[in-house]
Amino acid sequence: MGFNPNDWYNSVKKENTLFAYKGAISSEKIGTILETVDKKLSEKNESNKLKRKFYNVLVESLQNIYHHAEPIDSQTIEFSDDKEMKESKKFGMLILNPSNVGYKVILANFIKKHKLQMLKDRVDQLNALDSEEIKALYKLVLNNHEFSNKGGGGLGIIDIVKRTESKLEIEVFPFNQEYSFCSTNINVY
Amino acid sequence: MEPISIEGTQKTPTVNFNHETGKIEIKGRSIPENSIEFYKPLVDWLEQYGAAPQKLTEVNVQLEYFNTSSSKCILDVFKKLEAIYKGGNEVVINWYYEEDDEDMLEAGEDYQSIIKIPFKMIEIAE
Repeated sequence: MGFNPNDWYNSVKKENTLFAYKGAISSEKIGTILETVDKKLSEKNESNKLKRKFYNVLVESLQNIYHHAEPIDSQTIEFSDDKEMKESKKFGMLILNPSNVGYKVILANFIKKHKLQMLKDRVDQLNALDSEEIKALYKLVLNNHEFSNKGGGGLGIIDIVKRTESKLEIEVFPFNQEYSFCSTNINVY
Repeated sequence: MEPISIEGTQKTPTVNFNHETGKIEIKGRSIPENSIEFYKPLVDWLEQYGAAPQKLTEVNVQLEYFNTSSSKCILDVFKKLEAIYKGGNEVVINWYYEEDDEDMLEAGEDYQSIIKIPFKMIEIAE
């Protein structure tokens, strides 16, 4: 057997994990996740500033999966025990782990193999920019009139980098002939 | 024309557009998955309002959160207002932000640099 997303999920989840979820990424589920994480951060007495940053990062990253993740085929879904997956076909994993400076947001989803290079190039391109350049790029994309048919506008990932002021880390695992499994780490502090 | 009055939800803002008073208000959270669907009627309303606007249009934007797809739609709202302003009418945009929310202040400043309408940045105590 090759890479198993469930094993990966269980290995990334730690005893001190603040929040973990795997399954369908629906509009409703996004709302529930946001609410739950906000509550957990309040219980930890985290600052409003950190809570706001979290909220924004989670909105953008989860909606990114909602809009752009490939609907995965039934064969790929088989590993998942989430009943909603049969309907939604948009799958994601989210794990929030404490780090030395704050939290590590770990997001994972399937991606079609032929789209991998594009994603890697995009991340490399953003990671090469300093914070002033990211701000300028944000404004440039905000003010260009193109809107993707999904309404995203390509701003989400730029917004995450702008707000967190940290580099994105991605890791890719081969899954089957069609899909790779990709995890993205975002540092929030 | 009819005023717009929409109550806010967990993902969409409270909206009050009134052509008789010239007051335009967007308040709360704006993080819908489909922002265009939510904002299109607002942009269309402003298009119609622009044909015979009040002498002064006062715009109050007080957002707690907005997602990036909303940010594009909010820019579309501002562009309609800019057209009204350029037509020789008075338009004022009051951009509210919580005192420690630098990102929200910066977002307002981004709009201010793109849209040629007087902006007023108003800090509110948490």
